[in-house]
Parts: sequence; structure tokens; C-alpha cells
Amino acid sequence: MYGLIHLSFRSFVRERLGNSVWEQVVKQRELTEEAFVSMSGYSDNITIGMISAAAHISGKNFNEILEQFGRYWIDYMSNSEYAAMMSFAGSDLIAFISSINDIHKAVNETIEGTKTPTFDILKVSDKVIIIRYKSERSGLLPFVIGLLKGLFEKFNVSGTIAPKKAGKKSLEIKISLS
Amino acid sequence: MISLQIYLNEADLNNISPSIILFDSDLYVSFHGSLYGKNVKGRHINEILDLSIKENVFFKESTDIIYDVVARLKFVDLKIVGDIYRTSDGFLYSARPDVKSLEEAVQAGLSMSSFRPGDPTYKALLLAHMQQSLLDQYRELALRLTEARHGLIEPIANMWEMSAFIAHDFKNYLNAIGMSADRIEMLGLPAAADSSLELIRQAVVQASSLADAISDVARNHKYDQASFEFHRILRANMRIFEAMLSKSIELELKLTDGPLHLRGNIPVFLGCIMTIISNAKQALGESGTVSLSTAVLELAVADADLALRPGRYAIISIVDNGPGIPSELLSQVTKPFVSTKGAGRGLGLASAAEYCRRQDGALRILSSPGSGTRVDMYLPLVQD
Repeated sequence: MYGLIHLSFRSFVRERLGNSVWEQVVKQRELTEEAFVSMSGYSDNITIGMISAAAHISGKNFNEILEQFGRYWIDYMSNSEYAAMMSFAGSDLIAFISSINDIHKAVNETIEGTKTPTFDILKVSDKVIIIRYKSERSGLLPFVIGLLKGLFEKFNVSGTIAPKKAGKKSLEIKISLS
Repeated sequence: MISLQIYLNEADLNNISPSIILFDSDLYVSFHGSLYGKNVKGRHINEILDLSIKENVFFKESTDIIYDVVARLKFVDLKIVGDIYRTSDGFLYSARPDVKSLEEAVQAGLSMSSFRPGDPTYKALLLAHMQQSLLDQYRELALRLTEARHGLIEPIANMWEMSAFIAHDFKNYLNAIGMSADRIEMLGLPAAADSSLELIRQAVVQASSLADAISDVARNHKYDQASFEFHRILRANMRIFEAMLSKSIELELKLTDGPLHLRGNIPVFLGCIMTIISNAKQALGESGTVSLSTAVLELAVADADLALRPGRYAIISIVDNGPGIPSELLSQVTKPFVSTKGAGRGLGLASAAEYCRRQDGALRILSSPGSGTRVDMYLPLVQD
């Protein structure tokens, strides 16, 4: 994962779970400032370790934290130095999802060794969007669900998000807009 | 708004003979041409040229053939800007020309969907944005590391100066205690107090000797001295100085012509410059300008105020346009442990002033509230 995720997660824990939880996470995981250089790549173990520790310390479920963090990520990015990029990605849900792969390509070309997921729109109708999420990593579905919920809030839409067909490293997700 | 976009097949590019150009309508310009020996007319319009007028802008091309096409489109008021790019599928795409940064694109109301799929412009904008972010991040990191390093080195580098200062001030307090003891004796206190006064005097003498010893050691400590050309080491360290300032603080250089040959301890000297720049940054807060200038002073007669002997001096001035230093603090800021920053240790300017003094130079600070601060280092010039 790249450090921006860590920066965002630190902000998420401080804001949503409290400073004391974050202090305990830092202590437990022996985190130093070096883990928070936003455009550097880090081992997934550091990231997962942070999330696990935050879940354990706050008494919440790992997946629950992951989804909340995914939701928070959209808000965090939209108000960070990447706000312009978030605006550039699109002004509606479909345009934005369509742009994620290009953003990730730019990330990959900028930061060596990053492995970003892809989001392909398979089908679009008035009320239904089917996307295929592919990732080298497993277990991050709650984060993706959180991201999509964050995008719902960003673009002021409502609906449901349901995982459908699961492949080895991919997953189809059905978004039904209300 | 009219724009013209051109999509060219690279393979055909060298063979196009743009002999016929037809203007079909207000919204569409089609090109009818021929490849050498082969009529391409309408069949290849979309493969060879797709000129769609949406904006009153045309894109700069890298090939003569396109200029030729443009030259023939005299009936359209075209402005040539932007570039045509080569893409992996072998096509050259024209790009959205008037946008030079992602921020500009957003301000212009553009998003990725405003661009044709595969158009390299938005990819370039994204990449440039990412890379700029990366540079900003590393700049911030460099600043943090520089400050951390400076924070570690500075106390060690200044240890001798501080020892001398502390010993000096310590002796002042001892003198005050000794004089008070004399005064107490003159008051004619009971004899029982005499032995206590004697103890005080003995302690004062012993502590004073200790302070003298510390002072002697400190003053006899010699820096490793080397000759150096200031402008050269300034340029070599510019990135560090720039990294010390935030992105929105500009560092201006106004250097005098010719070299400035100085003698001194380069790390300690650089530490002094870093201290002054760091102070300027803290004074400015989020934004402002720090200027670093150099000049040569020919001093025919001694300058009593600065305690400078006649001679040639380099003046290295670091000026900020921050809020300035309150007048009541100005005369104090070169004394140790006096700080305008509250939590600061107040050693930086004191040690910079001591460094200049040791090099037979001087340090002068000019400031008033609202008019910024100017720190001048006067250092003797040496022969090349």
C-alpha cells in the first residue's frame, strides 16, 4: 500500500475512533513517521496491522473498520491536496468509476511497486451499474463497499451495493440506484 | 466555441497529399486527399483526418504536413496551440490544448470524460499532478529531515559558544553574590553570621574559578578552518535551504558579481545560515518571501557599532517580509536562551552572532514590527 492510505487511516482513526485509540495503535504496531510518506509504497503487513490494531483496540470488527475507512477515504481525498484530481475524475458516479483505472495507472507510473486494483464498468442502465473489481489483494471487499458508499455520498445518490459473481481475484458488484 | 481535433494514422501521415480540402459545414471539416497513387477521398476521411470544429482553437502539430493542412484552412480562424502525441496504438492524437495543469482543467470545468478515450492529454495531466504531489511530499520530507538533523547538530556545534556564554553569565551571578556578601558584612551583623559569609565568599571564589576554566576551554576551542567560496557552497546547498521553506515561501537570491572567498568552519557556517532561514520561515508562517543577498563592503575605517576593523567584508543578508521582531526583544535576540518563538531554545541567533565574532566579523539584525527582519552577517573576505 502506499503511504497516502496510512495518512488517511491515521486521520480516520483520530477523527472517528479517537486520539487515544490511535496512540495505542502507534504503540502496539511500533509505527514511526517513516510509515506516513504519502507517495511511498509499503508492505501490506503494515497497513493490515494498523487496521487490525485499530479494530482490536476500539472493539470493532475488522471488516466494519475497513468499510468505514473506505467511506472515509473518499471524503479524505476530496478534501486533501488531491481534491483537484478527485474533481477531475468526474462529476457523477459513473464518470468517476470510469476514471479510477486511469488514476491508478498514474499512481503506478509514479510510485514504483504499487499494485492498484481495477474497476471496470460492465453494464450501465438507468438504475443499475455492474462493475468488476479486480485486485491482487484479497479481503478488501468491505473497503470497496465503503468506497462506493462514499461515492454515493459524494454524488448525492442512494441505492444498494451487492457483491455478485466472485472470481479468483475479481468480483462483480451490482449497484442499484434508487 | 469551436475546436478542431485531428486524429491521424501514423502510417498514412507520410503519404498524405493534402491537395483537396473541402469545407462541408460550420460544424465539420473533412479532408479529401490522396495517398500517393491511391485515391483516399471519403473512404479514409475518418482514418486519416477527423477534423471536428468545436472550439476556436487548433492544435500545434509536429509535422509539416499538418501545417500544410492548416495553411489551407484559411477560411477558419485558427489558433495553433497544443501538441499531437504518439500513442501506443500507432495513432497520433491531438489533445485538449489550452489546459496545462489538472487544476486548470478543473477550473475550466473539465473532467476526464471531457477527453476522448485514449487522449494522452488527461493522462499527462494526471501523471504531472501525481509527480508534482510526489515532489511536494519529498520536499516536505526533506524539510522534516533537515530540521531534525539541524536539531541534532546545532546543539553540538554550538556547545562551545554556549559554554562560554553560560560561564560568562554564571560569573555575573557569582559577582552579584560576592558583592551582596560584602554588603551584608558592612551591615555589621552578629559575629555568628561571619562564618556563613566566609563560606559564601569561598564558594564564590571556587565557582568563579570553575567558570573561568570553562570559559578558557570554550574560548580556546578552535574550529577546523577552511577557505571556501560562499556562492559555490550556497549553490551546492540551495536544495536544502529551499527544502527548509514551505512551498508557498519563495527564496530569492540576489548575489553580487564575483566570488566571495571566506574562511571558517563550513558546517558551522552553514548551520548559521540554516538557523537564520529557519527563523525567517517561522516568522513568515504559511507564505512570504525570504531573500538571500550578498554584497561586498570596503571598510576604510573601523566600524565601532559593529566592532569591525577596516578591511573588506562579505555581507550575507537574509531578509524576510514577516511580522518583524518587537523592539523590546530586538536587542536581546542574539543573547542565548532569548527566543521570539516561545518554545524555541533561543540558541540559534546567539551562536550565529558568536560565529561571526570569532571570524572577526559581526552579525546585525534590523527589524521592526510589520516591516520584516533583516539579518546581516559581516565576514572578512580573504584572498583567493
